[in-house]
Amino acid sequence: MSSQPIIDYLTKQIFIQKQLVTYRSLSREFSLHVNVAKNELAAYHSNAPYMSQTCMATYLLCGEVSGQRTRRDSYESQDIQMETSQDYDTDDEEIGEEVTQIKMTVVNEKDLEGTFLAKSRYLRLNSITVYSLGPSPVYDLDLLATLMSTIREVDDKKGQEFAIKVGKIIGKGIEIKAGVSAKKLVKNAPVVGPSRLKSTAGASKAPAKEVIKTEEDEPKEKNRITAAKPKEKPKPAGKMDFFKAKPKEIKKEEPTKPKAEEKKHFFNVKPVAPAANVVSEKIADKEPPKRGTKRKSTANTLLSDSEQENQSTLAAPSKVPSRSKENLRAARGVILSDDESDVPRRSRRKSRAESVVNSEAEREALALMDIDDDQVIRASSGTSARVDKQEEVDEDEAEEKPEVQIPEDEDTEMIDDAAPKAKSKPKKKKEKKVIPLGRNGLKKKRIVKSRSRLDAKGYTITEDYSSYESVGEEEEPEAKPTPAKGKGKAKVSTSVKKEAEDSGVPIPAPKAAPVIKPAAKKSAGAAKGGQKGITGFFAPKEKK
Amino acid sequence: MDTISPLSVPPNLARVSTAILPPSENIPSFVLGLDHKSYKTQYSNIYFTRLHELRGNVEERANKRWKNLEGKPILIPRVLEVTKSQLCYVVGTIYMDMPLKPNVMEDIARDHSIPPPPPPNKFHSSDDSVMLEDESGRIRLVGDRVDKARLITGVIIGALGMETTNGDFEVVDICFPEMAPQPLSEGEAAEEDRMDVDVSSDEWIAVISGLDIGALSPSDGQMQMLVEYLTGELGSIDEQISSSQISRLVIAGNSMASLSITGRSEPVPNVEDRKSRRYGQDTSTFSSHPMRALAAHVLDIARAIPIHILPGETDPSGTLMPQQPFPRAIFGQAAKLPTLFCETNPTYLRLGALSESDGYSSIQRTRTLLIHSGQPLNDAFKYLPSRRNTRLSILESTLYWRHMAPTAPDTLWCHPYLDADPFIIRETPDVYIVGGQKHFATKIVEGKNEDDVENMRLKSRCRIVMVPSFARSGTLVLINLRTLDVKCINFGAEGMASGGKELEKLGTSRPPSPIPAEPISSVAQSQGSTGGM
Repeated sequence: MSSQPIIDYLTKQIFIQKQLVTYRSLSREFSLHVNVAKNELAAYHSNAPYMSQTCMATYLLCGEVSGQRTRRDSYESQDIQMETSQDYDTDDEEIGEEVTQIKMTVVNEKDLEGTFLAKSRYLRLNSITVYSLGPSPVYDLDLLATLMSTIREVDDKKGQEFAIKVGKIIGKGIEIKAGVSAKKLVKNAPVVGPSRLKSTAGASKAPAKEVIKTEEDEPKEKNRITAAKPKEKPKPAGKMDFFKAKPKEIKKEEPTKPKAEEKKHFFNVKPVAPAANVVSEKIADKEPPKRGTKRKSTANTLLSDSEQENQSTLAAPSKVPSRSKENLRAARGVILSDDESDVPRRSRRKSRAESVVNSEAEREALALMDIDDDQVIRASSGTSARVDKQEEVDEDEAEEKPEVQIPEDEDTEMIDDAAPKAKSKPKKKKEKKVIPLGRNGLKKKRIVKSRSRLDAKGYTITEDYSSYESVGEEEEPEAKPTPAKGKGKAKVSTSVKKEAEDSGVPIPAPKAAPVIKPAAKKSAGAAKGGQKGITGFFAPKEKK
Repeated sequence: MDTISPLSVPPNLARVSTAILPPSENIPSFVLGLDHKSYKTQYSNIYFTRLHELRGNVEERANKRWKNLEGKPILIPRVLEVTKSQLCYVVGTIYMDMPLKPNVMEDIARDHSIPPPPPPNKFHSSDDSVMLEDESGRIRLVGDRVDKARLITGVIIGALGMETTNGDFEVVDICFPEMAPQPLSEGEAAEEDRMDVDVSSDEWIAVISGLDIGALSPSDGQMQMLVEYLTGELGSIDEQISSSQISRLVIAGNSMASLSITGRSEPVPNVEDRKSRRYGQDTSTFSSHPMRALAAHVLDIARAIPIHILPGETDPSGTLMPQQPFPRAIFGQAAKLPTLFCETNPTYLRLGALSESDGYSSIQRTRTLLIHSGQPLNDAFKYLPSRRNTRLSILESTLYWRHMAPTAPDTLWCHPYLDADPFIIRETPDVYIVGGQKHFATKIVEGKNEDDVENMRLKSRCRIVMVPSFARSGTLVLINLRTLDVKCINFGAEGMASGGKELEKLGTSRPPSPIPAEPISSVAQSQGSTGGM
């Protein structure tokens, strides 16, 4: 009855591939009617023991059961309903009419017997058919459904005639239409066909893409983070971050893209970049951080001129290609690439600033950084012949501006400070009157010496006091100009820095920030102590 | 080899087919057209139109019923105009004042930092009071008759009684609209003579509900069997023949599992819960896989049988009660098939059996089906104590109320219709199917024919069917369109896990089976013990 190819197929599936074969999969495989397939399975199963092969069958029982019994069964299996039934399911009392209940049950062959022993489950057993054969008994009904998708795929491809041949009963009215659609489906089969498989495949692809994306994103984010950190943090922290961050960047990008190489280039190039990079400087005009970096870099350039020259010559060629690559990438118009191009740029800048620190002159530079800015600037402007024109311009501007601007600044300060100062002066006078001794040691001594000799070191201090005041006031202006000169110089330098900040620095460059801070403190200190003096110094001149 | 008799290949079985007929003028459409897209209107309009439409019928019926009573009760047109200690009757809408019922004001006043209390399973409590209202106002109904009657918010009744001294209305008798007329089915009269109709030509429709695809405990195996049965592949020739008589499959809601993790717990139609679930949905855990699985099953079936699929409570559809059809596109490939029909949630289906004679097919008889996914019934069930009110009895009552969802604007969310109440049953359907139930139940409901006879009509006769969740019961319900007979088919397994359930215990202790050395013999014995088929 059964042909050799079917037996071979079953043997292969069950004993070699250890797979379930249902009547459906067999019928699809050989274009058999499902009933024929069931017969084949039954025949194979009955013959298998004689061929020293044992396979486990599942059977489908169809028959009528009594309604009451199924209800009781349903109770047994649905515990929850029992629990909640007090309040809820009193409607079990009424199920209306009794209707014929047909039960279709899949059982393992070893349970077939048990089912028969519990035959009262079926009032009348209509049929027993083989459902599937497999290498081992089936303990989960859902296992039988695993073949569904492949069967669906076959049905998709083979269309309606096949379905009828296999034994599907297709509605009359639908037939023609369904046939058309089926043909369409067949045509589309490669594309649309295995909806399940495809969808799952698509799903699997999608996550994969996402994973890749996230991987790509991560380095970016990290770049950003590293970029952000140095900016936000004061210098020392920034350096620390840089050291930590840099290896990360490289590591992350290496696996993903060749771009990492470019970045490496950048990293290598960086020491050169600040000095040599005219193009970037233009951008830098718009973007504040560079100024800060530049200034530092000039400091570095002083120390390591020769090195930088070498590096700059070396780096220049390498730099150009990398740029063009970047542009190309951006030009491709991939959205990601846009972001990427932004990111490297940023990182380049930061890294440039950082790389300065990183360079061989690092320690020296660090030592330099601690030196007052005034000195550094003078030295750089004076000695470094090879500083960029732009830098010269900048510094020229910086030098010019302070002179021009100082008065302006001062004016504004005057306006701002005028009121407070007026108030503060009288206070001080009063204080001197009240507590002459406690106020300033030097003044007091002078005063005492000049005036109080006459009295016997006395107890008549109050008398002397009035005379001392006049002297003290006269001396004050004299004393103030001297500190004011020093402070004025300091102010020039600080004002330069302020300019740099004002013109350039919404976000002060990592290194610039710390440098500026002490300066700012100085200026602040000068403003408190010295601004009176300055105002006092300038005011009379203008008046005169 | 004798235990399992070889199956013969049946001659080409042709599936019985039915035609969809255009709805009659009494059958409203639940599709929300452009003119219904507005949400600006007040819900009071629904009550107004409902009362307006059913009042005449109730008054007529009440008059007929009470006109011969002693005391000559008179009809008071407005409930507030009842006079004390005078027997009279009024017609109005029932409003149930229930402390446990969700209240908008409470919801607003609630402390929103605290999660809302779990919704009660029942609104019913002993503190409920029944009111009768119309445009003029409300009056409280009291009396033994009221307590016994099956009343829920939104039902139109006529109440006979008199006002008591403290302003309540003591009810003596209650009058419902009773069943709506049923048009004579075409060709039905002709059918009466030919009772010897060949049974195999009867057309059946199959109904399932609650596939719960995507549930934690999937019932793939049962789904597989269902598909195989519907396509006519499962079992022996008998089953295949019975399958061929199924002309349509109706999926009455809840095809997708609800998003809540409570796998088998009662899906309470709780509005707040749903809302929070939807907005609290974690997009990272969202998967479209269940939808694809459903689409795949639908595709399998739709290749062989026309499918009508209704959205249900747990389905990805709107919450407002005439739930609109699924967009076809979500069924992917199956959407291209002409055999897939996406229906609104309550939906009428008018089917005609085709009889082919003389080369052309004529419509032999028509059946009107009213199908919904169960929310109205589940909601109404909360209003009533379980003791005397089963779901089936409530379902039956909706026919007497002539309203399939009386609680609609109150506790069952529905669209704010301005000038219509589509849930009024103007015409008694032949088959009334409700999905999303716990148990299967069915009944033939026949109109009380007292006045139908006067009207020279046939009695209204309706088959009501409660369809249980397939995922839980594995039940497919078959309804014979000619005789209105009902049959249940259960899919399941024994001795193996199915639908997430543990191994079902066999009724007997499982003997250590000597298989598989000689499976034939053991099977043969057992076969013999049953005494054959």
